[in-house]
Amino acid sequence: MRLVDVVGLGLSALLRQKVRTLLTTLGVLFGSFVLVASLSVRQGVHETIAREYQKYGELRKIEVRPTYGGTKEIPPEKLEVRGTMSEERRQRLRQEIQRRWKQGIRVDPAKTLTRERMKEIAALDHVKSVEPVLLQHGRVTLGKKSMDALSLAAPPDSAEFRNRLMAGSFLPSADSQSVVVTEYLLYQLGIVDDADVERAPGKTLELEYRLGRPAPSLLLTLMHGGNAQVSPEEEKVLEKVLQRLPDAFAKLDLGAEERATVEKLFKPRTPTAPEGITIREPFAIAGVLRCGDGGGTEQRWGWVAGDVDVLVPSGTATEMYFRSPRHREHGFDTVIVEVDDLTHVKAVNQQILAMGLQTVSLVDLIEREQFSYLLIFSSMTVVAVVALMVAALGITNTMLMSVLERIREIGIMKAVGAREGHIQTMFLVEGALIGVVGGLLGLLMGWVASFPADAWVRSMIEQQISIKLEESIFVFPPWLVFGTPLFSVVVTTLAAFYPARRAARVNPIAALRHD
Amino acid sequence: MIATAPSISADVSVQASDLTRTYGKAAAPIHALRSVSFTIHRGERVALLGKSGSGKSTLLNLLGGLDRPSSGSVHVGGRDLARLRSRDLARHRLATVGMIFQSFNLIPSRTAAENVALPLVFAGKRRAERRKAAQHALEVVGLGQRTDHRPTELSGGEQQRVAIARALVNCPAVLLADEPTGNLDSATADDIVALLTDHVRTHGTTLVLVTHDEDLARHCTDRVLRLQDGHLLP
Ligand SMILES: Nc1ncnc2c1ncn2[C@@H]1O[C@H](COP(=O)(O)OP(=O)(O)O)[C@@H](O)[C@H]1O
Ligand SMILES: [Mg+2]
Repeated sequence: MRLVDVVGLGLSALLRQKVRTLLTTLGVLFGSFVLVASLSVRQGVHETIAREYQKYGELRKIEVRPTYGGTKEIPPEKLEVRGTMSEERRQRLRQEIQRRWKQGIRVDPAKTLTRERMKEIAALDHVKSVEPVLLQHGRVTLGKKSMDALSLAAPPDSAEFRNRLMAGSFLPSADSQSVVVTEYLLYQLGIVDDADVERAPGKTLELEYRLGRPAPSLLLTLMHGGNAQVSPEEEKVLEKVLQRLPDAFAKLDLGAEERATVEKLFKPRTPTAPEGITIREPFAIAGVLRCGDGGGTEQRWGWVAGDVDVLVPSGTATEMYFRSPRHREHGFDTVIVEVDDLTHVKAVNQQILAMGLQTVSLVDLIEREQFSYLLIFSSMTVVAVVALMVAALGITNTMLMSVLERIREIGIMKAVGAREGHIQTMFLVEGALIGVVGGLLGLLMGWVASFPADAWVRSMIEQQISIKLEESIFVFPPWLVFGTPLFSVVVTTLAAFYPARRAARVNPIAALRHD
Repeated sequence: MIATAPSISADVSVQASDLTRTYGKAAAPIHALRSVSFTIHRGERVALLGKSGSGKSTLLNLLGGLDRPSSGSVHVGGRDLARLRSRDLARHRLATVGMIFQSFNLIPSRTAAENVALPLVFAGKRRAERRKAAQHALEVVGLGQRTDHRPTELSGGEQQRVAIARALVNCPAVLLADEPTGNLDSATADDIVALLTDHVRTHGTTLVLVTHDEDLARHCTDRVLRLQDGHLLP
């Protein structure tokens, strides 16, 4: 028997029962449509998420933090819960005491981001750079004017700042004694005219940091809220006041008991605490930055960029930061590790975790995000597969009926020489044809429907989180285009298997008995 | 006929020995055929006579390979049908025998030509070849002009002619007809029988014709086999 004839016989049998064929095919069509849609959007969202993150180059970065706590044990007497109570309640209270204790105590970092550890991280395979996130309040002086400013350590190849350069050049090297300032800072410092801004590069800016100890201006903040703008002269006075504050208590109108309390409170707690140090150094202005246009805020540290007044080369900033013995001991709060390639991020992350440090990486995050979408759309896929199964049951049912109706025809075919295999193949082909047509139409429908659906989702995303997606959230990779119709064919052919067996086994004598 | 012993099987078309077919459960068996033995030579025309329920159709179905014997053997065209695999039995039905039934057994949704060409579909013949063969077979039975008609558009006699054309389309060595005139009026019946016997004579085909018409059996065939309650009468 030739293939064309097998298909031809199956097709003509299907066409003889048009309504029935239409309905069973519709079932398959619907099932494979939902299957195509769910798989397509699943893949599309997966790729879109990866692409959106990838765009900001943030995927290759790992944020590393020190590990805190866990070293100091709670004294056993504190864990003792007295009183008559059930053992369960005692246990609960004990656990709560322990939990609060762990929260409350200020423990020094167990694993710190010291210079040595940063070198260790930098030595790992595939690590491109290790840069601290070093945001510091300091004081800048230009000529006679001075003001508080926020400085940020920046590598000389920092792209996000480079393209805001309006005069001069960017930081020449990581260790140079130079800075880049914003036009806003210059304006505040009295450099107003365009021509003056143009001439600003090359001028000397004095930077002052107070390390390891809060500024005395904090006293003012305490007394009348608000941020205090204090000149260096004023600050010297404040310092003096602070030092002599305890002496002033004697002159206050206080009772003996009150005086004792005050003296106790103001007694220096840790006489061994390292003295804070003050750094004051001149820097050459290398360039001037345009004020931020708010762009770049979708980046992880983007919000920082908006408030920064001064960029200090990362190497120089690190060196200054570590002049404080306390900083040398405790290291940085946050360090950004850049990995050379996306595929190595997880491995590097693992190695850093193995050092006992904490990490946050967007790869984790997007994997989690992708996982949640995977769950959602996979459940849709499950529904689709179930729908296909139901359609398949419909096919089995209809074809069993059809076998009974066509039993005489089957008997005739066998009588004139059809083999069991011929009859079986004919019925299997009928099932397969329904699967081919339903599967292909479902694919087509899914593809057609993806355009309005994509447009709708895009407009929603644009309105709600103002992200303009570049590509469709529906994708049709080859495995989907070929796979889903194939799957639907396999399902419907399997559905036809039992009826086909029944048809093949028809006893021709019984089928041809004419009563 | 001179009583020459059947020397070799080359001359033998059908040979049944101790052919038995039992229906139903072992507890209450229905003996449709009881140990039937006979030989039919090539080109011989044999009538199978007997009352209704005597086992004629059962025997014919065994010869046609639609059924298998409960015991005994039946050789058609040199092969023991009892031992054939299912697919070889199908091949036997396709190539060796042609069957004609009382109730025509045409597929109503297909045209005369398509019905006639049906065996050729399972033989794997091309469409054009099938068309030609069907056309020729229909011309042989005198229906060359009715190829595209459906069975419902044909009279009983014409339908049976189509069925005959279908049985002949593969040029079978053995033609098996089970009361082919049972549903036809006597004039038409005579035409049909004449058609069958003519064809058989000119082509040297073996014919087994089931009937209960004594005259017809005697006039149109070389030999008469009589069945009664599953026994072959001597
Ligand atoms: N499938 C069957 N199941 C049970 N009994 C059967 C079956 N086919 C035939 N018979 C019985 O076998 C006997 C012979 O039947 P059959 O060969 O059809 O007779 P005929 O064709 O001579 O009228 C009858 O008694 C009939 O009832
Ligand atoms: Mg009968």
